Amino acid sequence: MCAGKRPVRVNGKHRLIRAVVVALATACGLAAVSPLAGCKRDADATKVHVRIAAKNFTEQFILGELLAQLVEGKTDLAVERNFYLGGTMICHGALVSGEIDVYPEYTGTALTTILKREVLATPDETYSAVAKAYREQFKCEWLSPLGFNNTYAITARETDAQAKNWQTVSDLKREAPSLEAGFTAEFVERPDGYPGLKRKYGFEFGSVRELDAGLMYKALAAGEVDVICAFATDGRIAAYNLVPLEDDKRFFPPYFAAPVVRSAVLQAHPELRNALNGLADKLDDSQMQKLNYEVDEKKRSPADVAREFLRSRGLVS
Amino acid sequence: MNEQSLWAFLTARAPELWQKTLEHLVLTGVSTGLAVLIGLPLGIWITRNAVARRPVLGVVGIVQTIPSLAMLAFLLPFLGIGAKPAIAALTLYALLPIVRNTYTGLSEVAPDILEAAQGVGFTNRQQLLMVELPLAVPVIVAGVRTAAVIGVGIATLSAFIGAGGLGDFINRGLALNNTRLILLGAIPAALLALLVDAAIGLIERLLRRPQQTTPAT
Repeated sequence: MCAGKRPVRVNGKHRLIRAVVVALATACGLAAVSPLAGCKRDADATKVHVRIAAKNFTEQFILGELLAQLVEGKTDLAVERNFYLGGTMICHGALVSGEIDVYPEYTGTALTTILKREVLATPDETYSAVAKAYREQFKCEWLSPLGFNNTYAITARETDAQAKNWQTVSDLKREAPSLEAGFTAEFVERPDGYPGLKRKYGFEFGSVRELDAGLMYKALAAGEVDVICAFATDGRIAAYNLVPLEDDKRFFPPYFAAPVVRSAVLQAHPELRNALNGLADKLDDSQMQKLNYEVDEKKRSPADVAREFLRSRGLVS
Repeated sequence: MNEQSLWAFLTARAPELWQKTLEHLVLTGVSTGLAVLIGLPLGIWITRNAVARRPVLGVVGIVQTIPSLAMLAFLLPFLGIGAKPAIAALTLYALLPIVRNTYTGLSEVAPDILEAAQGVGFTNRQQLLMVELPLAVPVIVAGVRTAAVIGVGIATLSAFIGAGGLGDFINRGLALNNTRLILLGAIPAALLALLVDAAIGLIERLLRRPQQTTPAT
């Protein structure tokens, strides 16, 4: 290629390339200093943030919203929401490492899965044990329980339960090899889940499918699986005509929900305690089921459902 | 400190690992096979039919851009949970490499060879089966290899919808923040991808040998 043949066109191309590169670099530079990237930096300058997290299912979103709106309504603190964290251990890990400040946990889950201890008999014993351990080991505090017990419940279709006279989990033993279970990935691994259940009740299901928690109920109702590890306060149990079987051997621990907070944050902001305890004992099993139903079946947003509940109880204006 | 030594962990999990690996292979194998059954004829058709070329390539291309999890979620109401929607999704994702490579391989066959074939008196079908396809085999097989490796990767997502496979370990590990479980799913999946790729490469070499040893008539 002769170098000097078409000087104008070559220069034009160079200029175009240079212009594009400069434009891209400017765009990247702007993006880096813009609010999008640096949101945390300038937000911190004006207001203190409490970081509230939630696990990855509906009830947790609602609880997270309830707590967040209470803090926003009753204190001067701002809230950063970190919902849909992928599971118990992710939330716990984030809390202990200081990446989040609060999340709603269940006493039974903390006892068996996080602290890896044996099941205790009563809800009060369970609560005291986890509260003590968390204060000592993790420098976190358990605030007042919200009032409901979201235990795992081995659940079947009403038609099956009536036809085969299933009332307790033990009733499943005879047919278990021919049954297909739909469990969450967590349940399949947790000590208070399938591994422990198998040992306590002395039977296994014919096959186990691992499903997302949100898909379980529909899968059971549609006949794709025969039993699931339902959450007792899920609104779809009633809505889909499902029957939770009684845990006759008392395998599952009590799972009372309460906010868990880092002690350092409580010390720095004592007003947080009152705000978060605003929900203490305000939610029983059926109330929680109703709230869950509003989101799961009526497809309303957790934020709206939470706001409506708080206003109706006069907890927030 | 780990509660269980690594060796104890692996030996305890071995039967489950084996079963999940088999499930994973079945998901990938069936879907790649289906994609070949559908994609190969499609590729041949668009080589002959210029009008269909753009729409077909466009559709399989767009399918490729749909995020895998979204695709699975989309198929659930139609196919339920389990292996069916997983295989359907995996087949759709395997189509683009296979269709495109079939088309490219066939259209790269030199025109003078096609002329020679017609001069010898081959029918269109004979030309396709005895001249064009054998010459296009390397490119087509490259497409199948790509599809299979993509399939092994995407199949890990089937864990969310009850289809089994190595994704189950990854999912459990994520939920419980257990790195060992995550790796128990991720490493075998990566090795499986390499294995599948090598296996198909071996098949390709076996398919090509008769071509080189058969003397030209």
